Amino acid sequence: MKTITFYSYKGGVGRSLALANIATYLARFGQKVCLLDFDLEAPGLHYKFQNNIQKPIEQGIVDYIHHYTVYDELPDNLKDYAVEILLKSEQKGKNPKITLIPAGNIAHGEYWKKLTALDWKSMFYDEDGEGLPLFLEIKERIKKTFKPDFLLIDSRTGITEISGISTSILADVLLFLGSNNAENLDGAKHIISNINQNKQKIFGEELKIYFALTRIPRSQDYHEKSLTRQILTNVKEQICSNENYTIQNAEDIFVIHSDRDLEYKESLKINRRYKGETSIVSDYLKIISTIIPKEPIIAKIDDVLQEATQNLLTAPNEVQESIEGLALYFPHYKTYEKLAEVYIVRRLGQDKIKEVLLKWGKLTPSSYADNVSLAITYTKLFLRENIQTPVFRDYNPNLIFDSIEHFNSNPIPHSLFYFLNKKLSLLFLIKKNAHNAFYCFKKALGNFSFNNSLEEVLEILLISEIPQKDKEKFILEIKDKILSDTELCYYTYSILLMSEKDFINTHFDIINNFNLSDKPQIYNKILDVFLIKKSSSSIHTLTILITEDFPSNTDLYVKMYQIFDLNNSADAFWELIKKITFYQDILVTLQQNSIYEDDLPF
Amino acid sequence: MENIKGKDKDLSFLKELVKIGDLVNFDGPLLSLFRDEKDSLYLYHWVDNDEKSNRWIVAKTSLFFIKGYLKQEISHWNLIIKSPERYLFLVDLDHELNPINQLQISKGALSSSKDYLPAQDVFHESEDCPHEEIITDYIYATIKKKEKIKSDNWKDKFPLIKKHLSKIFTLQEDISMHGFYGKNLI
Repeated sequence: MKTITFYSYKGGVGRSLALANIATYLARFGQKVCLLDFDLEAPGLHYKFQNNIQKPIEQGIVDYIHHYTVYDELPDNLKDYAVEILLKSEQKGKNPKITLIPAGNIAHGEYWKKLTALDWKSMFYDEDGEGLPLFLEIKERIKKTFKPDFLLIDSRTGITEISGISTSILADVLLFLGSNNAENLDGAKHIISNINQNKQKIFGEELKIYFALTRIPRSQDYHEKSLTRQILTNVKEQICSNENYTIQNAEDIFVIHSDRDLEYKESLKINRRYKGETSIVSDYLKIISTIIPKEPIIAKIDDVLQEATQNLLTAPNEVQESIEGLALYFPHYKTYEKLAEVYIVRRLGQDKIKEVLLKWGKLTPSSYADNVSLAITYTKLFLRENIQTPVFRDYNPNLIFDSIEHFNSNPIPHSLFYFLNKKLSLLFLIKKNAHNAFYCFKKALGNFSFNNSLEEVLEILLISEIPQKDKEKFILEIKDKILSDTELCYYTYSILLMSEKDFINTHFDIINNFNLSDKPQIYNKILDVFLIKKSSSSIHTLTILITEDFPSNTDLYVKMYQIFDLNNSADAFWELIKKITFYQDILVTLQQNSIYEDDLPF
Repeated sequence: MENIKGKDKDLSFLKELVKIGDLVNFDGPLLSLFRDEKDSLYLYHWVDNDEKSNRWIVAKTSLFFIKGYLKQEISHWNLIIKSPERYLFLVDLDHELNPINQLQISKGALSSSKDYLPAQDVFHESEDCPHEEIITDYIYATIKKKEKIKSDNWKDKFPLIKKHLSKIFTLQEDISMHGFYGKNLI
């Protein structure tokens, strides 16, 4: 359990709101989060979640501590002092939950009586005071009872015992928030330089302090940007020059911008449907990404992304900003994949999409398996039918082609490049555009030489409706590749032989280029195709070729006979065979295989 | 002697205090440590005298403060001003040690005095402390005794942190002296 205390010297800087938003994001990231409202004199954390709290708050941490002071023992069940916050989610049964230990039921006078009865001074400063073990025990009980990944404490402001223990004793991380005015900054500087360091010395646990400057307007023009830079420089000089404590983000202090929308009505920024321009979410994400380890977030990136995109149709701005923030602060190839999808759905420009795709490619894991997986997903993104945008409707391969072209001059994983071009090649084939298909395919082959993929292309070519002359041209272009592989030869022959035209004479040179030693096997496979398809087209030509090349290969003759026989033209077979000097041997083989049981017909 | 504003108070309990020893003695005691029957500690800090009496400021203190003072971690001034009690006592004792004046005073009233507080940078010096060994032994033995009692008690009340008790004792000691924000704040 990591404990993060949110503290501000003065109120009104957006501390509780920041805590609530960050808690919400963490919960959506699949983290178990527990909140503790220690702003006992002015509790308000529960207001941030008032529509999501599952039951009325009847008691809280003040009641818990008060019970201890009265009965000299802590209550048995901490859960009785907590409430559950159920966040909205479109995913059925996947509503993220947050545990809140509120200050108490502040609407009831009993709360305030109990609070004033607590003697913090004697608890913490008396020799026999039990405040310190009590609060450390409470922290451990939270850990044991709720098993949260994160405990977020909303500390009270100013210099008090409760803020002291929240910031210096209970916290692993202190997020110090302050707005740009003298009282906030002086207070921050004073406190940060004086936080008791003995806890760290005694327990060997380092307290990490971060500073966030809040309610800074988002810069609109050069003048404002310059002003903001000046403010940040001043604040860094004031806050970060401490002798005792180093601010973790001294070089890059957080900024939580003011938000017009929030000025009108403060509400949770992350956990609601939002339809205006926004920037504050990104501020929170930056904080999360800096003060919280990335590993647990990345480990659940699928869920996080699913959660983040659930409102894509109803709140596209918010979703886009969330994913952009995630991509920026938790860079992961899946995040960029999702961002590309969002951009496509939202019909953003090609340049923006290409930029995202490029980053995606760069973040692709280096292992081949992942690359293939990514490449397939990537290609699906272009090809999927349900993306009804002008760009990709009806598989406009030319537009996709333009996008893919972008990668030619950029370093992307070879496998990705290969798959994209290959898939695009197939797409062009389907679209009867042999020229572009061939162009893409050549690019793919320039990087990879997986012949099984060539097979796939040839198979498409075989069934595609592009003109036969284009098919032949395509085959001629990749002739060298085909000649190097028996399987490819088989497909090529099939394509050529299955055509309606008699091609052999035209392209005889191709066949002659084949390695003679491979031919029997190729012929064998081609004959298998003829058998399966029960086709006799071009079988005569093929038979002549076989009798010329391998007149003594009886296995081939057996298959040839079967094809002729299937087409009720066995006589034609014998007519061709009798020209061969050892046709007797062929007859014997057929008889031995019980394929032909009669005598020779001539 | 200076006119210090305060409230008359019956301080008869002071008669019951038992002296442990002098923390500062220079031609007579200037800072002495006392205890009551419950081992609560009090300091007698000499501030003034006239022909009839000696004036003392009495401040409740703690084992941790005396330990810190002996280790030169906190000053004489801090011992008085950071007394765990909100109020101090001012007593004028005649030469027979009978009280002439007994007042409850605020720390602020003492701060406004020119000479009644030591300089802020005056720390313990062994050569001015004739009873250093006695006081040290008493302080450490009492701390140990109290920690034993606390330990037995806290193990039941705070079971989840019992393995850290010795560290918590150290931290508690530090916080009771320096607060959560170190020496310059609480």
